[in-house]
Amino acid sequence: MLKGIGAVFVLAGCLGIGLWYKCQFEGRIRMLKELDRSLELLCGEIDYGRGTLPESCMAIARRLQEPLRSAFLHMGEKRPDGESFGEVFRKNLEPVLDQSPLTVPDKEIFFRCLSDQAFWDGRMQQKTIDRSRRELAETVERLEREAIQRGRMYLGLGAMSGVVIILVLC
Amino acid sequence: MEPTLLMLFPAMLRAQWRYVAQRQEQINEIRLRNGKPILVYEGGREYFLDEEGEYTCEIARARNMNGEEIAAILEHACDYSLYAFEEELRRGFLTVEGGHRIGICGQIIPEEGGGVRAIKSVSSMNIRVSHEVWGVSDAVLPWIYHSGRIRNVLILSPPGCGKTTLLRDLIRQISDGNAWDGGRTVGVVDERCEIAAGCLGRHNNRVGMRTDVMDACPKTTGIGLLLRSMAPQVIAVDEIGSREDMDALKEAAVSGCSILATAHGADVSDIRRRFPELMKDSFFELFVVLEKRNGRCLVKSILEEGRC
Repeated sequence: MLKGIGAVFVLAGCLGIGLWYKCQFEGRIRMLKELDRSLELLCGEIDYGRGTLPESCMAIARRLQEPLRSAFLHMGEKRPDGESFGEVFRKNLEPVLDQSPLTVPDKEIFFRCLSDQAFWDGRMQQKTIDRSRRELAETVERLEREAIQRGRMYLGLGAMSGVVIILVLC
Repeated sequence: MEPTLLMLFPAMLRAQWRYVAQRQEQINEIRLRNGKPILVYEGGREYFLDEEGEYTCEIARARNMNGEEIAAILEHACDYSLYAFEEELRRGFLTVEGGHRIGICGQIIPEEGGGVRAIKSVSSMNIRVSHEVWGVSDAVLPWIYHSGRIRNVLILSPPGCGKTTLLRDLIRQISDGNAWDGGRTVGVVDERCEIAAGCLGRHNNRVGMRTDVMDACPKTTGIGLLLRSMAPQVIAVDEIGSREDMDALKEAAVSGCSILATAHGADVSDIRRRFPELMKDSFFELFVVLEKRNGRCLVKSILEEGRC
């Protein structure tokens, strides 16, 4: 009886871990879409308002969800110590993205478009952002194709590992 | 709070420029040239900067500027968004927070059919420091009021004699009210963002409680927008000189506005010769001529139309 209850708990725990990985995977897709959206809004601000990068970040912040909203608001604030925008960009976004399910390559795609030296020409600035958006979109598309199989894989692995642990313990 | 001049410099250069920034109220210009000594103009005198960032008159101790520093200062002044200042950079100058104007010189990339597409490889920079001086228009104020209305006033002088500073103080005193009259609604077309020094809707310079400002707007467009939307009693513009400017100002005058304007010129006859459009039809009723003497900007003369 006790063994049976224990086996149920072990199985539930392992299934839970599998579910957690599945949710992380889905969370990664959501975060990538939110990053793409933030770049889209930024492009619009640069194209229409011709605002500086800090101004544009401040302007789009209220259209974003947390935690990006706070990060973009901070990036739009004055920098009394004379830090470059690239430094502020990384400083505000790295902690936010580190706590997300994004991988290192995902984050680099995003950082690359704004932490480098700004362009003299508005079109080149937008093209740089658009390139990052394309890469993000390709990543999202690939992950969405794999989403169902991955979900089943994580849950299946979770269940199987639970069964293996039960058998070993028995 | 740090001086606004220090905000022009990125973090890595601030230690070297702190002494200069603290003298912001006395400095007129800072000239930076690639491979040449840094020059600071204060009180009509020229100083070099040494390695510690302090004044020296000895050229042997002067620190030379380098191209990387000029590029870093320009990038920081543009908030790391050079594309946002594309139009200003094409004209060869930009106005930054604090109302300071940065003129740049470098290699021109020409536009097809003439004109300038961009300036690259910036080799020199001229930082004109903005000064907000209260009370500088006190001597002029009694002259601008006549029979209950404000005259159309033209302030003229050679460059660097304080036209914008005088205009700014006039705007503030007319807007807030003064010993000669109560406050009036003033509309300002601040094409170069030097009068009010606006940034994100906030103005670094005080231009009065009844003043509306069109920032970074061409004069002819801005005058029309103000007339249609803000019902100003007075319109103020800086550095007029073309027929289009005059046509727009005349339209404003017909609508009942009084005009405050500035123009480059040594005196009234110089203006009459170089800009005949400005002097047609006795449009301006009062001329305020400024000059620079011993490093100080002064009112040279105040002339009424008909007595020039």
